[in-house]
This record gives sequence, structure tokens and C-alpha cells, in this order.
Amino acid sequence: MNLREQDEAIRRTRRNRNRALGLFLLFLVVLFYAITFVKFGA
Amino acid sequence: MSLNPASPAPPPAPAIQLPADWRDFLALTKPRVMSLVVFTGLCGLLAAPGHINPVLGFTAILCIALGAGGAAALNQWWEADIDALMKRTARRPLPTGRMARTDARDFGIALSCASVGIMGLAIHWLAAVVLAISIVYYAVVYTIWLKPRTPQNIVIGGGAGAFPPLIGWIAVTGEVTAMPVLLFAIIFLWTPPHFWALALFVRTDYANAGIPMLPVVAGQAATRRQILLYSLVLLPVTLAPWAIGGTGAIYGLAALALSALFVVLALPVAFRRSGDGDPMRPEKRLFGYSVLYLFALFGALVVDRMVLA
Repeated sequence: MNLREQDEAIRRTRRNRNRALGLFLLFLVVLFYAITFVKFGA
Repeated sequence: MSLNPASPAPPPAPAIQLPADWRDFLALTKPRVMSLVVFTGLCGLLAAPGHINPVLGFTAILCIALGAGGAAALNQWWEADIDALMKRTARRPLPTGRMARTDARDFGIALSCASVGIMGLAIHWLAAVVLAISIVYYAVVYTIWLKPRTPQNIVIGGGAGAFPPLIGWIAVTGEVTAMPVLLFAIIFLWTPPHFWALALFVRTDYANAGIPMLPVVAGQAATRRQILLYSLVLLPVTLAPWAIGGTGAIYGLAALALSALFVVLALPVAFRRSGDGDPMRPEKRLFGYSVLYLFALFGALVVDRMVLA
């Protein structure tokens, strides 16, 4: 793996990780609203 | 699995260190162990008398899963050096150098705190307290304190894996009664024969890593006797929920059949000697069955509850 491929691989890994974290946080936000709705009504 | 004692050398670190991928963080949570934790927690929740809104029930199970994942990450953070010495664990993210140890520690603490906080705010503070106790029990009492010190580590550490049905039950009822305590006791007594069956056929790994597992410290004969002893004690305890009227006959008969088969499979493990190069088939069979056993037993509990309801 040359330097450019290595750089690309690192960027791709970071991007995937950030996407996964973003999706998880989005899921928690949706869950927060769902719990609030269930516990306290509309 | 090979038992060649000369083989458990850690794989060489990759030449190029990429940053940890999301899969590494997922691996840190021990997903396979988590599946059993989630299943028993869900069974505790479904078997409890009363009703919980599906969104809150899902949240409670998510918190149990996050808590188990956080505790597993803290376990791997603490045991990274030991994991590197054992073939079974050498490919984990920390021993292979794919992730910094501090990242694993911070991830574990974040998951643990989030799970307890959400459980308390959204479900029930008693469930959150028990969840927090289970995380500290596994990450500190078992991993840091007992595992490297005593061959009874599995017996006491088994308590950590026994909490999920108790937490699931409390999430619904908000109280601790005899039934969830019995569910706790079942997993508590199931853990030693389950792990000792595994420890018998990977004992060289544990010996190389310096972990005082029972087969390493007390020898195979003593471990085999203990496996049978725990299997015999487990049988009446699994029947206790039926005896106190907490379940119906569906669970009772399933528990009787499943636990009797557990004892039957423990017998050849208890009354045999093994030497070098032994394929350890009875031990592997008991280990495989023990996983199936727990799924089937708790599955029967839920089916029984649904039929009764």
C-alpha cells in the first residue's frame, strides 16, 4: 500500500466511523422524542 | 480448536495502522455475549407480571445492551495484555493495535454512563441502580479484582451475567420479588459449568496467560467434579419458579427436561480422564448445549407466561 492509498484508507475509515456515530446519535434523538411522547403525551 | 501449547502466539501487528473502524468499536462490546444478555433481559421483561409500553420496553433492553457493551469494553481495556497472549482473544481490536487503549476505556465509560442515565430517566431508577451495580460488578469486581486472583473467579463473576433478567423484571414491576431473584440464581449457577467446560478445552490458553482458572489451578479432575455438582444443584433451582407458583407447567416441564439433559451431558465430563491430544468432545458438547440450554429455558419461561396470560 503506497502513501496515497494509505491516506485514502485512513480517510475512508474515519468517514465510516463518523457516519456510524452520526446514525447512532440520530437514533438516540428519535428515541428521546419517542420516550417523551410515551411518558408525557403529545 | 487446536490445543497445541506452543501455538498461541499473537498475530503480528499490521504494518500500517488504520484508525479504529466502527466494527472495532462493535467488537469491543462483545456482540455474541451481548445477544445472550439481551435475550435473558428481554425474557425477564416479558415474563414479569404487568405491562410496559413497547417503546419503554425497547429502551430498557437497549440500556441493558449498552450497559453490557460498556462493561465488555472496559473488560477488554483492562485485559488487553492478557488477550494478546490467548489465541481465542488475540485478534481483538486492542491486542492487534487497531485501537488505542484509552479509546476503549472512554468508549466503555461513555456507554456505561449513558445506559444507566437513560434507564433511570426513561424507565425506573431501581432498574438503573441494579444496571450500574452489574456494570461495576463485571468491570471492577470480576475483571480487575477477582479474575486474576482466584480460581473461583467464574463462580463470583457469574453474578454479573445473571443481572439482565432481574433488570428486565424491575423495568416492568419496579420491585424485586422472589421470581426475578430465582432467575438471577439460575444464571448464577449455570455460569460455572458453562465456563469450566470451555476452560477444560482451552486451559493451555488460560495457563499461558497466567489466569487462575479452575482447570489450571485445581486440575481437571476437580473441575469435572465441580461441573457435575453445579449441574445437579442447577436442576432443582430451575424448577423452583414452578414450585413457588411463579410459572405454569409449560416452563416446569421444559425446565425438568432441559436440566435433566444438562446433568446427563455433565456425567461423561465428570467421569472421564483426558490426556494430551484429547479431542475433548464431551466438554465441547456440554459447552455447546449450555448455550442452547439457557436460550431454551428462558424461551420456555416467556412462552409459559404468554400462555398463562
